Amino acid sequence: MKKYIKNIFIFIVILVFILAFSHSYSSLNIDNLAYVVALGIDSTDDNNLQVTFQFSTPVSIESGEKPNPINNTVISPSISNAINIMNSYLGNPISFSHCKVIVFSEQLAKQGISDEVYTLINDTQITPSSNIVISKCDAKNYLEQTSPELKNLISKYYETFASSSRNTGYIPDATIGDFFNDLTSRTREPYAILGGLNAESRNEENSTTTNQDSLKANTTSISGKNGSENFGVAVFREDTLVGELDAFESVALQNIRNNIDRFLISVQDPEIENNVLDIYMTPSNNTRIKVDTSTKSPYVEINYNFTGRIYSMTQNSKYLSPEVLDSISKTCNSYLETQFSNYLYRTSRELNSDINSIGNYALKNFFTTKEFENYSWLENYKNAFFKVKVNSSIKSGMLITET
Amino acid sequence: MFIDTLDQAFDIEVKGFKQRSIDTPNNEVVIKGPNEAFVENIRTNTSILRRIVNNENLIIENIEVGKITKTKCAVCYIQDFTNQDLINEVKYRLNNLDIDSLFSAGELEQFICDSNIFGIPQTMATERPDKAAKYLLKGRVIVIVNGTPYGIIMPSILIDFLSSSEDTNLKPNFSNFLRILRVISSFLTLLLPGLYIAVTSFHQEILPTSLMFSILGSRENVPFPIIVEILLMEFSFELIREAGLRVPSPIGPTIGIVGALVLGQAAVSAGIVSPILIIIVAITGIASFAIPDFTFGFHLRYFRFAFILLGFMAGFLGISIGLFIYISALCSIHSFGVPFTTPFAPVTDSKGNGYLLSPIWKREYRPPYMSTEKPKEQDSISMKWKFFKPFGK
Amino acid sequence: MSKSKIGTVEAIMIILTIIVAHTILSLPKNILTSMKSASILNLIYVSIIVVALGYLIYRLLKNFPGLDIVDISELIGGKVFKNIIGTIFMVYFVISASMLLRNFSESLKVIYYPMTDIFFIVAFFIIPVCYANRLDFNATSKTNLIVVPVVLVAIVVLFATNMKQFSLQKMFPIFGEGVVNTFFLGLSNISAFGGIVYLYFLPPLLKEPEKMKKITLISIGITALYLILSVATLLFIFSFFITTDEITPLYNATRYIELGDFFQRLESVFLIIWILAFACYLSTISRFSVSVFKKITNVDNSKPLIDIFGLLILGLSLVPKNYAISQSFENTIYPHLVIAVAFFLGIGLLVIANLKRRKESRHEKIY
Repeated sequence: MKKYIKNIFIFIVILVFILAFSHSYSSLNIDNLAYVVALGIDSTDDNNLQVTFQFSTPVSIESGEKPNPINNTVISPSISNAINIMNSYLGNPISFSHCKVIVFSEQLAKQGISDEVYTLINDTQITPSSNIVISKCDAKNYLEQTSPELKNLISKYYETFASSSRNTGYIPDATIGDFFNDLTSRTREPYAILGGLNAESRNEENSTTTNQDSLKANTTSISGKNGSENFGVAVFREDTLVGELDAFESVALQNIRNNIDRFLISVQDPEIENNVLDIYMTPSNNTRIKVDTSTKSPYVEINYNFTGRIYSMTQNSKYLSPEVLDSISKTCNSYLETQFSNYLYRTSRELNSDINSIGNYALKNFFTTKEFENYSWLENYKNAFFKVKVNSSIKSGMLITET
Repeated sequence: MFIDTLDQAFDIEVKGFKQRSIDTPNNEVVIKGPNEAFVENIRTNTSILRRIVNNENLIIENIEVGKITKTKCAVCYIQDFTNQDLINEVKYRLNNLDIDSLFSAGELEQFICDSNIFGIPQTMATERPDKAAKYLLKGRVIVIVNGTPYGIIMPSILIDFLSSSEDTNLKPNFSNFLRILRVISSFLTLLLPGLYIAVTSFHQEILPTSLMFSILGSRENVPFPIIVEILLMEFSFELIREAGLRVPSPIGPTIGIVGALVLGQAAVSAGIVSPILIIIVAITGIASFAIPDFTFGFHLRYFRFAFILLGFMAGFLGISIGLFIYISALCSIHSFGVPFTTPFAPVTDSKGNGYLLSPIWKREYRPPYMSTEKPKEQDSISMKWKFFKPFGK
Repeated sequence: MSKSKIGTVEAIMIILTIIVAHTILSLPKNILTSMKSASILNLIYVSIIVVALGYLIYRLLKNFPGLDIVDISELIGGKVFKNIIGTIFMVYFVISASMLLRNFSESLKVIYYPMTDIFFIVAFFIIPVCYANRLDFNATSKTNLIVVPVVLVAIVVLFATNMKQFSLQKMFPIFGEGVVNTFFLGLSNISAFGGIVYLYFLPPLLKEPEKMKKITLISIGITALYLILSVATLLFIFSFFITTDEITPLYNATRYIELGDFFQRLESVFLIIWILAFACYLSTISRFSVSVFKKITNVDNSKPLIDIFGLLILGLSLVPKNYAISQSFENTIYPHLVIAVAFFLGIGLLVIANLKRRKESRHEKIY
């Protein structure tokens, strides 16, 4: 008898626990949730937010056709309100656990996005490694025009599109976690990927620029089925957008932050007239940065080390001899020093935003955090002087060394 | 019968009886080892054991258990080094069973085990005499019950249930690979369905996005919630397993395979279950077959339902708490005085007798947790042909 | 519990359960908030001091072989004093267990079970702990032996996989909030080493009491290493200038782990390990409080006591009305409690007992 009572008691306890946890189960179950893959936030004229949710339908096993993403938009005073309204509209609660990209429009970014970033980081489901993009067009347009050509699922495209940051350096791999850390830090400023629409989606017949060096999103000559493109960096001071960098300046940023594997430069051939050499440069070790904070104008010394391999070939190239390689190296050095120096002065004087996180290297010069805060690095960054030294050694061509 | 000093002889009619001849083992198949198995008759079994051990110190004592059936049980040990307390304890337990009848080794195992917590077995039953002999030489005691082709090895600890007699026949690299495989398969048997339901119910962020969308796509037309699906498929799998034991032999294996395949495929086509779940259940089932000992495998199969329930109830919290209770239960068991989780907890120097095997020339010591009287079983240089050359050469 | 003895490694693991349970919650964040970039320096400094204190405790305990702190207090002041000291330790165990349990359940509720009442999450911990405590003491110590190394490996894995997000310059400025703050006010961080309180109860349980010195030093060393790794992970990833108090900062650090495109958001795996560790911590601490109670009151059968202490911890953990109250308790009152009971009270009692014994032996020599 006692054993029966004990068993019944255990059964009742299990039942009670199942009921207690079942509310959380029904709110988090895989069947009941709508998975957002991308989020777009615009600002409207009357100080409201226009929030776009992009969903991806699952691949059906029988039909096997490519699923089209679904975009739903709502206007509301804040993100949490928008999520609430969308929960009610869809019937299923929204889950951000697979949200890969968060897009802010340029207009909203200029007004300041700290509220939205803090709210999103506070959410338990947002992945800190979701990319953050500032789009020059409306975020809604950007999301609607994104249509990956080489991948079936749009979420797969979003997972990998920022990987070009390591191969070309034309965009940074900016994530919302890093954005938040930089926002709350006193040694550096946040940045985001710059996105926009390609030429076809912009309905332009003539491209505005073909110069590779000032490649920026929303201004390129690319046409393709995927309507959105990403080139360049959106620079922030605190939470407000203060400027943009083009593709090559983004390369400079990636180099200083040691986030790049290789990049392409084009220099004048010192041997042959009117010939441009395309060289793949690879950093051979981390950038060495030294900061002198004895005055209110910090003096920054930066040393880069690269190795390079020549990619473009003509009929009359002779690259095996050390003298030729030496002179090419010297050309590359001076080219890169100019470019990087221009970039650094631009971030300092024009944009006054230390997205290069040079402030981290300045920490060594202080003994206590109070001294550092008294120095106010971020305000003094605009007075900084830079000395850039590049040391590159060009090895040879890739498969061909001499023609 | 002739008796000395009597001038009369007796003509006695004695009944002989037919018995099953020595056959290959059904459940413990080994590729490189001998293929003899125990039979029902205790004399045959003890004779096989004597033949293999081949030493005068192998003591086989007969004890009768059961007031009515007086079933003979043979307690076998090597008196040279087996711990005397262990022998006395085994004989004490066998002699103090106040029962009417004893029919099988399975019943005897249940009568003499220390504790019944969670149904974890504390003695191992084997039908291979070579395995029994190997354990005898490590200092354990074997009990053979008349009428059952099984010998009970005591004490048995956790690592014994995950070892097979094939392991010592292979080179240690291969057998260690197999042992690691068995550990993984026991985790899979116990935890895989529970983890699946915990992840899909509470922790979807762990899944890679493409996998999650595949799961969602495959579940589109399924009418049941995941817990019902899982219980349905697990129950059907157990049903097929149990039914497969009783199907008449010519069509036995076919029914098993066809039943599983057709059932699974038909269920997916009808939209009752999702294909991913079929894979999960199939992997769990196959993993449960990889566990060498039948009782231990059964125990794990039984407890995966508890983990399914815990995973459904509270996700990873439920599974961790379940694991906590399970590990505590494992650690609290003693098998004839030896802690069940030796040599991991308590930490003891197993002297080469841990879970992963060392090369055969390094297995110099008997397991220290057996407290044998002769701890060393090999010389430190056992391959004398390799290292000691005779003079003059 | 007194019948079974435990080995050296098991004793070390018992002491480590406290630090593991405490680090999952807001201990690293508290250290970071007060010490800023000098956290690692401060921790190294504090560990050296605690090692010295641990050695002192070992020397003082050596003169009373086989006795724990409750028996020693009986030698000082008789039965009444023993009861008082025993009650203080018991109350300390119960309060710290219930408070940490409440905080951990709150963080689990926020992350995974937003609709479930906190009572059920807390009960979900207490019921298995009550069940596990019915088994032998060996079961608990062996479970600790299996679980705690996994947690130690997990923190190393967390440190290693997060390395590419580290910026090592965050270690500077080297003196953080100033020399005074780091070295003098920073002494309060010895409250992180609350595991020392188990040292007072270990001597009667050890199979090899002569290994006590090894146990003390190794456990404090591993505690320090574990703390430094957790604090370093947080220091190098997040910025500490503007403090945003997170619920479980180490959990936040696990969300940054990304191994390629496939393995992301592995925090749930870490959570399984941490929940296991927390259950071990609860089991150990409730066992010790039951044994202290048994010692004071000379009760024969301790099985019903386990349920009562379980209910007590459950009830106490539900007392704070909201998370802010229990969080402030953990951040302000708990460190002072640890320093008062584990360090001042314990060492004080041992010193008094040693002095008394020396006086008595001098008296005996005279007569």
